[in-house]
Amino acid sequence: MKSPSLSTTAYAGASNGESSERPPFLRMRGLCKSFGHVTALSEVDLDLREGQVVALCGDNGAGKSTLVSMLSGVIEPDDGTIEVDGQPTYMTSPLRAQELGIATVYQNLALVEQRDVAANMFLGQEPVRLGVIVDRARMVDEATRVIQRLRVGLPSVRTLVGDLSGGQRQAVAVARAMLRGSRMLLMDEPTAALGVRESRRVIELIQEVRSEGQAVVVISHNMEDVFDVADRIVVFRLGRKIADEERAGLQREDLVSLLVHGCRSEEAGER
Amino acid sequence: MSAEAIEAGRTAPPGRLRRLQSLRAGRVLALTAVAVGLFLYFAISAPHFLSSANLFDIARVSAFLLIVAVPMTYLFIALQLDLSVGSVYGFCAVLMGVAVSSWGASLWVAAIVAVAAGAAVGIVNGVVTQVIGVPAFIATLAGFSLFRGLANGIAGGNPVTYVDARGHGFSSLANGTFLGGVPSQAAWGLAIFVIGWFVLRFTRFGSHVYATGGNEAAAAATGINSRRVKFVLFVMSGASCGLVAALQGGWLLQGDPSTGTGFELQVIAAVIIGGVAITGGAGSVYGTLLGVAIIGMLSNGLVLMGVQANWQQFYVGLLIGIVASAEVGINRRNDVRRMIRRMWRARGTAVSTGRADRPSGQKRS
Repeated sequence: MKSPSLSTTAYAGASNGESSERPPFLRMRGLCKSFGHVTALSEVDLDLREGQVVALCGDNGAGKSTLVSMLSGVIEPDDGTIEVDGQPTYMTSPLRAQELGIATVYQNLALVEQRDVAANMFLGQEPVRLGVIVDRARMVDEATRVIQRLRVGLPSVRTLVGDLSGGQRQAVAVARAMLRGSRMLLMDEPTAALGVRESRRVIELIQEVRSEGQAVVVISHNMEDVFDVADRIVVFRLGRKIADEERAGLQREDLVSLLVHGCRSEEAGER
Repeated sequence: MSAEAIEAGRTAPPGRLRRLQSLRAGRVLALTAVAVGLFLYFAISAPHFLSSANLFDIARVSAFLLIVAVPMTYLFIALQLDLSVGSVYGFCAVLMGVAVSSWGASLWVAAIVAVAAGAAVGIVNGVVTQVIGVPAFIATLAGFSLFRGLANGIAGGNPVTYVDARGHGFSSLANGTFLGGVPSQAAWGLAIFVIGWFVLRFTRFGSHVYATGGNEAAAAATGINSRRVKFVLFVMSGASCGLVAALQGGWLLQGDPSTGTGFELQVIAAVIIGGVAITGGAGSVYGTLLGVAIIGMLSNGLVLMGVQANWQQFYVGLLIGIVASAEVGINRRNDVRRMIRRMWRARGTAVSTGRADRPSGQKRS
């Protein structure tokens, strides 16, 4: 896993540039959230663009998960605005987020082991004929198409998820998120439970999703992964955003220092 | 896996591939073999087993079991259970008698009352388990006692008879024969089986039942209302008890408060022998049909062979023990192997660790 990323720079250059012609897919301004006396997030501004991978870093309790929960519609902010395509939006439920094209890959993956890949990809949203009968043929077709597009090594979409390896399961969860017509993919610790080779595959998967022009937000504790896949790195500390940098402009030591001390190693006054 | 083969097995070690799937197919096959084997064994060694009268008798007795076992299969797949079915059966039987003898209702109306009462009990079970949140084991254990008591209390401990009831059209529907002697109870059982098989296998609701028992958190994350699914299952279970009560009333023309004593255990036995995963999320109505058939043939064939009725329960119990041990043992075979090795203190101490990829799973509530 020591190898630095191979192909990420090409994409990073294409979709960045602060003076963008197009408004970002999603724009957050002044987001605040408290749970009782605990301030989980305060005054967070963040832009998320399509075709860009943003890594959210920070120690436990920094506010990353709170932010992702807000974006997937699980919790609502106390204050601040979220704009999607320049339109003010209220993310009131997971279903609403899905309508906007935002899909989440949960840390526990939310797969049913006893069912096959196709059934899992359409879980809760099975296509039906005559109102009630599940359209298996369509499920198999569409699931196969997405899996092929992701170039995941799966024997068949009719395989039970319980028969898959950890990396394959992760791939199924990502494929499901993509299938739901998403424009933005939120991934909470996508490699936490995986081995080295499987983590590698997930990183490649994220790169494929980006190349399809989607926005990707990744939470990760793994610095190697972050530097491998992210175009932009956003660091949180105690509920505040303390850094938002192009990956190219951030050294590893800087990131470690930001995470641990809340400031860069040499230029402490940056923020 | 030709058409939909996608870079076949690129990352999966070949040995592991489709292990669960083949295990499951093997179980259904083994169960079918047991049922067929039992049938052949009795056909050869039990006198009169193959006579049409006897086969129809098995079908008639098994039909009631099947009608309630189908919704029970759904409940087990969704990691729930209903212990109150036997008592609700008895309660509905008494209620049907009361409707005819005290209210002067015709058999048709009384039958509808019985089914509606069963469904109402199901609604109560659904509210207590899914709205209030009492675990199903406890809630339906309360119902088990409550409705038996209610049946006894209403009937005063004696059967309510209504031999001179009006509406004998229903009676023939419940107890007639067709196509040269096939009892109508068997037709009811077959109808419920076909509907139950179809709904579980092919409808969206069926998928949601599997998802609810397989991983309720995943079901919730993808927008499935698992509580509503389980609620509906309890109503189905209650209504099925009402249906068997109505069929029995139309047949015997009496409502005995002791009807269905021990019935819940027979139903659960059939479902478990039928191979429903004890950990939820898997199982089939076809398996339950086999479970019901095995129990039906066993109790009938043993009597024909001159085995005392007292021994029947022993054999049913033996079968449940074997099926359950086989299922759990196969799932945990590495652990079992290791335990046996440890017991015998195998020379090589470097015992391979069991696979850790199977989560401990949800608990049946």
